[in-house]
Amino acid sequence: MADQDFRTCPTTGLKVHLPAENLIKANAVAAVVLLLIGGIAALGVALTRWPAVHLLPADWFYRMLTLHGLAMLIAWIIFFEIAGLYLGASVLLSARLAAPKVGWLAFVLMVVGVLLIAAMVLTGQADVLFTSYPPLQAHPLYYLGVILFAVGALIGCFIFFATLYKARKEGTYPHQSFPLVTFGLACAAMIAVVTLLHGAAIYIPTLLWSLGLMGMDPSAYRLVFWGLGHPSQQINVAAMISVWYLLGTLTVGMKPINQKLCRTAFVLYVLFINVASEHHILVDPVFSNAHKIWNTGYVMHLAVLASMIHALAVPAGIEVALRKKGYTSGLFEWLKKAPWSNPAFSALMLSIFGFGFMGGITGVTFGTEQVNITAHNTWRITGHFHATVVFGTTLAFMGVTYYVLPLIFRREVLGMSWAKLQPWFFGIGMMLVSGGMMLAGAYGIPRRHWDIVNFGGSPFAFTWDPTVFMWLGVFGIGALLAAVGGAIYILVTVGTILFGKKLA
Amino acid sequence: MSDNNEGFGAPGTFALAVVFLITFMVIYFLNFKYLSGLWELR
Ligand code: HEM
Ligand SMILES: [Cu+2]
Repeated sequence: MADQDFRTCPTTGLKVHLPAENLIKANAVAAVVLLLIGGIAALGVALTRWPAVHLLPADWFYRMLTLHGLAMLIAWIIFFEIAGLYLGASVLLSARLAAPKVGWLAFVLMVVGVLLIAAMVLTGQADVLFTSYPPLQAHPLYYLGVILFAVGALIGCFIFFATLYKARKEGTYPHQSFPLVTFGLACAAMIAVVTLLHGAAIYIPTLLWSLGLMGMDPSAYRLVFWGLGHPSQQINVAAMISVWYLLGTLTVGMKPINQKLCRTAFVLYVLFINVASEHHILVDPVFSNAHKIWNTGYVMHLAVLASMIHALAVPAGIEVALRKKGYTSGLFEWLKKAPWSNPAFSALMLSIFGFGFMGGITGVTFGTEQVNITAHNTWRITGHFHATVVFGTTLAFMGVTYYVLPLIFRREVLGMSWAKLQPWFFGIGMMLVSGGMMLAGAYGIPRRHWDIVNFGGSPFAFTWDPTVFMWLGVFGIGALLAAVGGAIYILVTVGTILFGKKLA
Repeated sequence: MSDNNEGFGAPGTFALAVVFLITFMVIYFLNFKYLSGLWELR
């Protein structure tokens, strides 16, 4: 094995495979660029939905909303996850990344996909929102872009598995089982393969439909689409939780309190990926009422159980580690004296809070058939998933970046005093965004609506309970705070990559 | 659960989990209460 392909990290002692390092860099940079684009779109959308501002005209509102959903939920998250997969399989195991050239092919496919999507959306040829429900139809190149992106991501997953296989075969990782973080990422990647195959099952027919080659039934579309849409969120959850374990280890030296239990919980995700997909189509007539109640009242909890185990195991592991350091007085000395000035730690704790208390509780509640009828298509749903995928996943990914910068980019983090504030701006901002959305939604404020005050001049006026405008104000202020947090993250990251002090 | 003689090694987390459970129950209940107000039995 040619050792000039490796360097040894002086801080962690990990052997870093250089071709893997370059791929991680490329994917992580792409992720941050798309976070910036999605963030600009977020600001446009948020300032339009805040009635006090109502910034954009209707067509640009929907264009920016489409861009925001895709740039964030698809591009930022998945590019970052691919970087994470390469890190988890190669760097954490000190192993050689399988087929780096194929990795570059995957990267190019994903970039071309994103460029096609962006071009179609920005030229007004794909105002279909990220769900692209028929009969809304986009230009065929839009669907092609999604397919290329997905194929690239699928290749990335296979490289991950091939790397694990090589690490085992070449004996670079001789231990009995892979570390928990890699195990969790492997579960995320397994879910991703299933998800992406589902993606092909829906996007290829939709591409053909946009070319006029076949018909499309909207309710069949929605059924198959959510076989993609829901599991893709399970990828994000599994990846986020892997990052939680990694951050717990890096920030306070936590050891998982019970490896077997944590691994079993990850396996639960794989086994029950698709059972909760039904909560997205509870108002569709596809399933019977009995089926919906059985699914969302009982079966769904098999996947929820896994998240509950992790959300107990991670803070418990942190508490045990901090108690070992001597913070043993009372119930909460460990929490008070925890390393809050480390942005990765504050990001981790805020992420656990946001995902568990705000996202988790509302998800289980709104995902129940009976309650869903009051929440469906209102802003309560939008508030719920900004708590999970933004407050939870995005913030955790931001936190781990503060370790990826020195380890992979070999730069000292620039602007550390700003970085320390960053998770708080983003976390508190997202708390207000999610909370404001959910409370306004409880008064009936719909999601994806350009003008809830005048309804675009429609003769059917509607007067809201005035409390609604207070919650919309809370949301608007939160959006500004979160945007500041996002901007600091991007400035610190880009500044560090370009100008940070080089590490040996 | 580092040491079996000391009981649960993370009492603070246990307390937080209880807070979580109570929050969950309150929110779940409020949502069904709201639903019952919209869907009255007559
Ligand atoms: C500063 C941060 C953010 C703010 C202020 C923000 C705000 C918003 C707003 C106002 C909407 C429109 C809701 C509607 O009209 O129904 C929205 C939609 C959405 N956001 Fe965000 N967002 C942020 C970050 C993110 C991130 C990081 C993600 C994903 C990782 C994300 C995913 C989504 C998705 C999937 C939608 C739904 C789009 C649709 O309905 O088609 N957001 N966001
Ligand atoms: Cu779902």
